[in-house]
Amino acid sequence: MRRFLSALIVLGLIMFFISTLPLIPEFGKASLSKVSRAFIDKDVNGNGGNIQYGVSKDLENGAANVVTSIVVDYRSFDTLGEVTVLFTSALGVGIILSGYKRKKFGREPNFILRVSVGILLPLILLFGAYVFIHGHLTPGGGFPGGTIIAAGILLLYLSNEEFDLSKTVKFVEGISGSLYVIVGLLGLAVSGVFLINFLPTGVVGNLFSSGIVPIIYILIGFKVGAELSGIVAELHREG
Amino acid sequence: MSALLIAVPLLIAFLFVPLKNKIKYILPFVALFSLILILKLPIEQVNFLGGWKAPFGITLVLDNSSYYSLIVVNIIFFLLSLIPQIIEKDLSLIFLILMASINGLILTGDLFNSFVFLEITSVAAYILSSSKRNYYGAFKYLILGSIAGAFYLLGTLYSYIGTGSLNLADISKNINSEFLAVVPILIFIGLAVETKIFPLAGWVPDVYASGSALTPAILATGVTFSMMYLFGRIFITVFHGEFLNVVYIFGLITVVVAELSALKQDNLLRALSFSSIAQAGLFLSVISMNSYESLTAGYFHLLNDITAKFVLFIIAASIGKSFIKNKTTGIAFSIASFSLIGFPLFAGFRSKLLILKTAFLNQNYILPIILLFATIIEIAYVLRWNIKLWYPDNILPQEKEKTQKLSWNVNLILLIVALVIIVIGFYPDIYLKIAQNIASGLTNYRAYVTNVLGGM
Repeated sequence: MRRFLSALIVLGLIMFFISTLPLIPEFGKASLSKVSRAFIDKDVNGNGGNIQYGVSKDLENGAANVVTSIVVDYRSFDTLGEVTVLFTSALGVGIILSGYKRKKFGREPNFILRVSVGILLPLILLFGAYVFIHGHLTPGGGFPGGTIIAAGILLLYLSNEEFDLSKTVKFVEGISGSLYVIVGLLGLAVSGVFLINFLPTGVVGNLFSSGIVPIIYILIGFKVGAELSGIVAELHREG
Repeated sequence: MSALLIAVPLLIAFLFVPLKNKIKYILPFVALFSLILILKLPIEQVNFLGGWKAPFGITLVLDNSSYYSLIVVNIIFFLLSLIPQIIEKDLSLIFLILMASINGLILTGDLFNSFVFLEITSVAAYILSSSKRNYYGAFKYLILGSIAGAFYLLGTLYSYIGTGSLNLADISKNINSEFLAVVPILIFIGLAVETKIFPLAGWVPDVYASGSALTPAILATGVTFSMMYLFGRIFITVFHGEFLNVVYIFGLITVVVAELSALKQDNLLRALSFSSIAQAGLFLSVISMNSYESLTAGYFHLLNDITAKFVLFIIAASIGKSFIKNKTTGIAFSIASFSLIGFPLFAGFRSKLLILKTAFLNQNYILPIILLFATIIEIAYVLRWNIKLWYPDNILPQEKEKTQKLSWNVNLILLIVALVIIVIGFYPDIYLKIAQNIASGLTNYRAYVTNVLGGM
C-alpha cells in the first residue's frame, strides 16, 4: 500500500513537471527580461550601454565576469546569506560530531603520498588563491577557490597524522566572516546603504578594479576554505 | 537601517566563533538591541541593499505587517535569551544565526532572498532539533526540509521565467495566469514542511518531542510565526489569493488528523506537537478565506497559540511527571492550556470566537464545524494532561526526590507570559492591533507595490 502510494505521488509529480515544460522557453530562444538585460549591460542606474573590455571606465559595476557582478555586487546580500548557510552547516557538523575521540592508525602514511603532498600543496594553494583573487575577471571566485584550498588541507590531513588545524580554522572563519559584514557596514556608514560598493570601480578587466568586489571575494575565499577545512577536520576526527 | 537587524546578530555570531562559551552572556543584549532598533525604525521604509533600485537589487521592506511581525518575533527571542538554562552551550551561536535569518525572512522583499533565509532558518532548525541526541527526528526533518527547499527554489525559478524579476512587488504586478497555475503549487509544497501541513508534517512530533526545551520553544513560536508571515506575504500579497482554496482543504484535513493523533499520544510533548500542527492547519484554513477580517482573526489566533505554546513547551520539556514540587509552574501551565482550548475568559476564547464570527459572516459552515469538533478533542486531552500532572497516581518516592525545582527566572518569565494570556483574555486590543496591522499590510497589495517600486 505504502509503495503504491509513493509510486502514485511520484507519478503525479512527473506529470505535473511535464505539464509545466511548455512554460520554459526553447533552448537559445529565451528573451532576456529587463533585469537580466540591465545586469549584462551594467545599466541598472541608466548610464551603462556599450562596454569595452579594458577601456570602459567608472561603470556602475566594474567586474568583467558577469556572474561575479551579479553574485557579489547586484545581489551581494544573497551571497552573505549563502556564506551563512555554509557556516551554519559547518557549525552543525562540529556540534553533532563533538565528543568523539580522534582515532589514530599509529603508522606512517605511504611514502608516495607524503612526498607528493609536499610538491602538490604549494601548487594547489597557489591555484586556489589565483581563482579567488581573479574572481571578478575570470570564471571562478570565492566559493570554488576556497574549495580548492580546502582540498589542499585535506591532503595535509591525509599525509600527516599529527596534523591539526581546527583552532586556526575557527579564527580564520570568524574573522573573514565578520570582515564581510564589516565591509557591508562600512557602506552603511559611508553612503547610508548596506553593502554598497563605495570604492571606485576602475577600468573593466584590470586586476585592481570594481571596488569592493575582489575584497569580498577574497574574504569569501578564506571563509569557504576555512569552513570546508573545518568540516574535513571534524570528519577526520570521527573514528 | 533595517539591514542592521540582520547584520548585527550575524556579525556577533561570526566574531564569537572562537569564543563559543562566552556567547551566552551576550544573547540578551543582542536581542534587546534588535528590539529597541525595531521600535526606533520608521514604518513604510524600503531599503535598497547595495544601492540598486527596486526590481534589480534586493530590497528590505518595512511596512505595517513586517514591522509588527518583527516585534513579535524579537520579543520571543528576547524572552528565550533570558532563560539561558535551556540553551545548551553549543547552540547559542545557532540561536544568533536563527535570529538574523528570521529577521531577514520577515524583512525581505525578494523571492530568491527569502529562499536563502529559508535555507539558513531550516539549517539552523535541523541543528537545533539534533540536540539531546535526537538524530532520527533531525534526519527526518533534514530530508523533508531539503526536498521542500528544492521545490521552493523551482517555484522561484518559474516565477523568474514568467515575470523576469525576483522582486515580490514586481512579481505581484506582472505575473500572468499561465504561471499562476504553476508557481503557487511549487511554493506551497516548499512551504508546507515549515508551515506543518498534514502530509508533510510527519517530522514535527519527532523533532519537538526530543526532550530539549529550546527546540520546540523556538520552532513552534518564532519560526512558525515567521513562516506563517511569509506564507501570507507570498500567497496573499503576491499571488492575490490564488490557490488558497486548495490550502483551505489541506488546512482542514490537517486539523482533523492532527487533533485525532494528539488524543492518542501518551507523551505530553508529542501531544503538544500534534496540537501545534492542528493550530497551524486551522490558521491556514482561516486565512484562506482571504479577507481583511479573516486575516485578522487568523493572526490573532496564531499569536494566542504561540503565546500558549511558549509556556506549554518549556514546562513540558523541563518538568518531570508532576507539578508536586513546582506549583507556580503548574499554574502557568494550566492557564496556557486553558487558553489553548479556548476556555472563556482566556485569550484563546477571544480568537476562536472571532474565527467563528468571520466564518459565519463569509457563510462558511464547514470551518466552524471542524473548529468545534477540534475544540472538543482538545478539551479532552488538555484536561486529561492537567489532571495527570496535578494529581499524579502511582508516583514513586524516589522519582519525587529526583524532580528538580525550576529556577526562579524560568518561573518568572513563564508566569509573566501566563499573565499576558489572562490580560489578553480581558483586553484583547493589544494582540488585535498587531493582527489588524499585519492583515492590513498583507491585503493591501497595491500600497505594497507602489511602496517598493515607487509611484506609478
